[in-house]
Amino acid sequence: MSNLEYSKVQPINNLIESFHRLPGIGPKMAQRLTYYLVRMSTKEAETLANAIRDLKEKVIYCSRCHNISDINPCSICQDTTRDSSIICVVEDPLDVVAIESATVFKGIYHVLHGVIAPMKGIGPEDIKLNDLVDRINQGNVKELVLATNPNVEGDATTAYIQDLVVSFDLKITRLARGLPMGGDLEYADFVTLSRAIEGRQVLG
Amino acid sequence: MHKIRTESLTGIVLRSIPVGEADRLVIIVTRERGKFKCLARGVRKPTSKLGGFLEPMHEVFITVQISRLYPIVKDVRTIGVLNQVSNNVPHYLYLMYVAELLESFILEEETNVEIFDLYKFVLQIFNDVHEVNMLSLFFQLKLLMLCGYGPELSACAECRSVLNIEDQYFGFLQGGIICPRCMTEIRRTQYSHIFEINLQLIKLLRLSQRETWDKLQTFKVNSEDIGKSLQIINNYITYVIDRKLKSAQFLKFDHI
Repeated sequence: MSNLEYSKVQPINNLIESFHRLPGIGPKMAQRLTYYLVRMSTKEAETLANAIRDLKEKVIYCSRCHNISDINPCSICQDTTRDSSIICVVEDPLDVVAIESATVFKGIYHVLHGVIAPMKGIGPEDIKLNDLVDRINQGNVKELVLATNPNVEGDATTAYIQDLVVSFDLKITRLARGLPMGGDLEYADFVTLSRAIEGRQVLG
Repeated sequence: MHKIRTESLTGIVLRSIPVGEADRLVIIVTRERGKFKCLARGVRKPTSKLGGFLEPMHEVFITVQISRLYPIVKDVRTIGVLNQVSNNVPHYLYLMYVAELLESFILEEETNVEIFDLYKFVLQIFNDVHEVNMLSLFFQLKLLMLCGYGPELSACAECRSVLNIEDQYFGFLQGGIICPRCMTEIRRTQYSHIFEINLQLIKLLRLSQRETWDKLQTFKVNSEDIGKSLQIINNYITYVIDRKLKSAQFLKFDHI
């Protein structure tokens, strides 16, 4: 805990320090948020406090896909209209939100909660890979869509999963790489362009 | 009128750390300024025009705007992709270890073109090398030399006398080989930092430290000896930098 004293009032100090620990929040922003809460009505502050409490008490990880949920199994795993033979493997729960917002994927998910990142001390044992193999072992899975982030760590994790499940009778796919919508070709980097050319599609 | 200060550098991306909403703090080993940290704004968004240029192991020409905290990336051009190991997991783990090792040793604002060239050379030849452990040993010993931590391998690090043809010891605190005579005078408390080393391993370490990669390849070396030497040097490095590299736990020195 930081020993900095932001204010002579201890509760204010405590809250500033708590905000400061959150990602992306510096000491100034923490101070601004705290003083905003001081001016907030008691009812609004209670609503916020209850929302945080509920978050910690009611949000759980789905025992099947490891996505965050308030029920177990989560609503996606329970949804019988979805195709449970296609599993989309993502790095973290926010990726599920992003893919769901595209409304095109009708399969189910598996959240790894990280990627293989040796420089952060994260190896294959530290992410939910064994559970993925267990799910495949249970049968019924026909396709694995590897949707890790398009960077070195994401690609290495994809390669590791590919090696891990190679013995299963599975279709292994990964998200297409290429140019983003709205981007100019002239600004594309070497890797993106080369992957876009590799993954070109026949028209008509 | 306030003049915007920019600077252009040539470097190889070591790694990047996500910061804020969509930014990355990029750590680069540069030819001009040693280790260099800069902030790449918005590069985690798919529409970013800079993101793809700042991947590890890319040699880049980068233009930054000097600001109060971190320099801000304004433009990047790829000079070359030195290695694309991400679809070979053991190689990826190895090169991440090399990058972490380099990051631990090099300092900011300290120009060392030889270290830059060494790293570039290792990345370029890595995929074609048959004995990866040998290259790793070569890299580690050369890096230690260039950073001023090269172990003493020709004479006893304690008494400076020429080594006799017999098995010796390698002392981390002493920074090299210790002869059996000096070993008898060393206090027991230091024993955890001393390893027995045979003549074959000493020879291998000397060759790796002195010779060029091309010359080193002409020698016939036992892979078990390479593994043992690598373990000694790896432990020595841990002693020098006073911490264990996070990526080291994923390496297997006996085989790759």
